Amino acid sequence: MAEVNFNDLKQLLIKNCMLRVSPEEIKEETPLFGPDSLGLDSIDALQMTVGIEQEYGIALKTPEEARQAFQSLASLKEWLRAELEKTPKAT
Amino acid sequence: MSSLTPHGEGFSFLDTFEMTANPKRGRGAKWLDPQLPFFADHFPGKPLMPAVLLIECAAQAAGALWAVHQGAKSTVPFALAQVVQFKILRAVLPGENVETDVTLETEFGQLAQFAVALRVNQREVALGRLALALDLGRGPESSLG
Repeated sequence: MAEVNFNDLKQLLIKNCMLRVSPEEIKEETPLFGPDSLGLDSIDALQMTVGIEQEYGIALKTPEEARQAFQSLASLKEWLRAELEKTPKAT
Repeated sequence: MSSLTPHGEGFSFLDTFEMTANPKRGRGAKWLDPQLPFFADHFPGKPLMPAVLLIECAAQAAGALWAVHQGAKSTVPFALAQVVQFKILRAVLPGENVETDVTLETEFGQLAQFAVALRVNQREVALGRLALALDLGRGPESSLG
């Protein structure tokens, strides 16, 4: 099972959303969308969806699911952890 | 064939569009009439298809695919939302026929991402990935809210 850690998610975020911030500036609870957030938009959400599928093999199926998962890196990590637990383990 | 896309005839970069057996793939084509006005100045004496218009060819083919994929009975308003990647492999000249193979990779609410491969005489001239947004006139910032 792929490990999920904050540094990897920060790098994924910076790369896929072309953010001009350092990983240190992104906190786990910082909102990704809306006021006082990193200022992502729906194009960024699409690119994060594509990046997560490429990196972890898990697809976000609906914008509503994405809305829940993309509240912050902490919520994204928790969503990914839960999804990876559902994935059958290789024997 | 302005009916293939919402564009007016003067900005149509899609003459034909056909689906493949795979419902997520299609192929568009555009013949580059040497009389198209931009060839006169891009560049004087050495006409060359502008790279941004190759992207437009791909975006219009992607839009046509998206409309078919959604079962739309008429053209669907869309806007190019992001050029994720686009690599020009060789120059495209007046009089050439540009074929665009387009594949729907991801749909996400009002957005969708497409892989595109442009060919002239079966030779790749450009490759890329584009994101389109439905609903013209609406900024991407609102779609998750």
